[in-house]
Amino acid sequence: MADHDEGKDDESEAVVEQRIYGCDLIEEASIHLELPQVCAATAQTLFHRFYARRSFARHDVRHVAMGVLFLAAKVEESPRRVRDVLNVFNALFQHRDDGSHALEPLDLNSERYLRMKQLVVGVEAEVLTELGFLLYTEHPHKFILNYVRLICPDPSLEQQLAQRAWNVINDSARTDLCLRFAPEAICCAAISMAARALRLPLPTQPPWWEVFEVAKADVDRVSGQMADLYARPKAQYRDLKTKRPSPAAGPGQG
Amino acid sequence: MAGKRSRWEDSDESDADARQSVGTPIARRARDVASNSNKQADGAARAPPEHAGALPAELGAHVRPPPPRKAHLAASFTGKPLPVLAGCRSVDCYERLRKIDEGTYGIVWKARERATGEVVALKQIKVLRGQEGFPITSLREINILLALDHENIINVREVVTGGGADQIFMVMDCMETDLKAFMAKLKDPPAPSEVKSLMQQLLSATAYMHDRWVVHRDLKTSNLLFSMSGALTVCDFGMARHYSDPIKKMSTQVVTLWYRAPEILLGSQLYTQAVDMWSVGCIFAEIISLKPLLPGQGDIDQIERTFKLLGTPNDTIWPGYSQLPNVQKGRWRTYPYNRLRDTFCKPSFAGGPAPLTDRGLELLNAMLTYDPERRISARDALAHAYFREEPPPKPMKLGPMLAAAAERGAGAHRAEPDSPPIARANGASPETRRS
Repeated sequence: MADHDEGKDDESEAVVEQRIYGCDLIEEASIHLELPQVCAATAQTLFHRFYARRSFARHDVRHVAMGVLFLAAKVEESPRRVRDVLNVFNALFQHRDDGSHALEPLDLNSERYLRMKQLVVGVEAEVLTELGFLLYTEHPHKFILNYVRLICPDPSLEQQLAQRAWNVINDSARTDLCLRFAPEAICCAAISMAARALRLPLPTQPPWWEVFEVAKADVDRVSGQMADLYARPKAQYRDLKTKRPSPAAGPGQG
Repeated sequence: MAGKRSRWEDSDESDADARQSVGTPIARRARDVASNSNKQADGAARAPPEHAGALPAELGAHVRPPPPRKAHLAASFTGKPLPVLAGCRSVDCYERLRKIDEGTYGIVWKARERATGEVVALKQIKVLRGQEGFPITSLREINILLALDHENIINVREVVTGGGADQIFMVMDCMETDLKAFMAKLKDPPAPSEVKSLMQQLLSATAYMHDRWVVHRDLKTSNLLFSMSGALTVCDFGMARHYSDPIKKMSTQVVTLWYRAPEILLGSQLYTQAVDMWSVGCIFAEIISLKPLLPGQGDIDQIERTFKLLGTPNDTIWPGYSQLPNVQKGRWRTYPYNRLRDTFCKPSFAGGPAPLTDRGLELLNAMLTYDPERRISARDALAHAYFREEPPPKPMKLGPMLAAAAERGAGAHRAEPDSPPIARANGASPETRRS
């Protein structure tokens, strides 16, 4: 427990970027691993919970992304082998770093494979203790269909509205909103943004968010942060470890 | 986990070592933090204590506090409000008192929290660290128990770790005894009102977890803890898991033999939460008669006994029966009748009232229905007329003498078969074998 006093990062530009980058990675990898979407969402939540207590400078997003996805797949009853997880991430790293499609598969007997494997299992154990084994999550997705059915003025637009809100919620997982707002609030903000994009007025008498016990201020704050997210360019990987070089350098790094 | 060995790693019972660490800085800090958090309002009381070395102030500002429980959240899987993030504390926050029980699943200790003096039960999770990291079976148990919040389900306060990464303990409320040990000390079966109280509590817990898509898969009397005041709590979720709709294939190596539903015995992998209701039915009968309903010796004998008591099923009463794997494999004797009424509704030899009323028999029969589709659900069972007829449920209180005699693990013989063993780490994909 040596580095418990490492402190929290400021949400500096670099940290925000690495947060988004890590979540991008999780989502891409979960698609390649053919995992249900809930696994990616759970992994991203675990990712944010972990970094609420630990520092980006000390824990490489690439390693943590691998570890939390590996763990989340088990939590959501769709376990994947370490080997498959590593292979997918390995390919993603190569592709991201030099854009190459000529991928070099991992040699299962290599020193590097063993090192990466230890790394993933190690991150998993660290996440578990760091979160006190609190792995259960509640995702905003769950509320969409009910909410939309209740408030959408035009039944023919219900599906479109729900789909757009669903996309916003998926994107919201790139931020640490899940730590600071109830899933209901995030869901309301997503519906509000989706409705605006569709130019669809929602009931105001009484204000629709109040039906779901969500405060207007929360909807606005979540929407604001989502707008910031959409204004950003694609996040790139950066090694934030300044002092000590990574002992088990991830694939394709440096 | 900086290589510090926990006191709990030594398995000898002497706790002289453990006492010394009261004074270590981490234990002192934990005590301070814990006593602080005890002063807080009850809303925070259920949240796990802050990590000894954490940064409570900053975290409190950063992470949203647990929201108040809302009605529409209650139907979700996560019954508990989002907890304040806190890392695992060290097992050295607890002082080991004595071993309560040791089974295939690991060891349960009685322990005292140093900071508060509260007595708790510590269950060591077996972590068979294989090729695939933290085993999914252990993960299920911890994750499910931390997410469930019901007065008749064992409350897990926190998870603590020892020195090694393999040392993981669940800290739970300590209960006086379990139903099996307790019933072994009873001379006469419980009164009808007491049976009702026990069944109501058991069904209420079962309904709660089934509402949240959790199936227990090892309900039996020794997994029902029992307190002085007559409160019953379901424990040992080592075999529990989430299920989904449509159902996926699950392992048939689940549920202790005597409580195993016929569809599992006959090899179906596509079973549902109805397997728990079969076990509940077996427990119901066991409470009434103080002896196990179907104490089979091996799988074949278990099926034979089931058929003998309830009649051999067929495709009429159980559509799809003849297609089950083990029905096609074996030839089963034909027993034409269901003998539950003979067993439970006859006046006793001495002329006393029958152990079960007609309503009670109706409920028992509904639980021990062959066709899992038609087997009664926990919710429907709770609403059954049996619970409304006279006499009303009354908690079964333990006298102090009985409590002492029946204390858990105090010589309670385990005549029943063990829970099926958890798949060991060998071969390609050990953690996924039990699914």
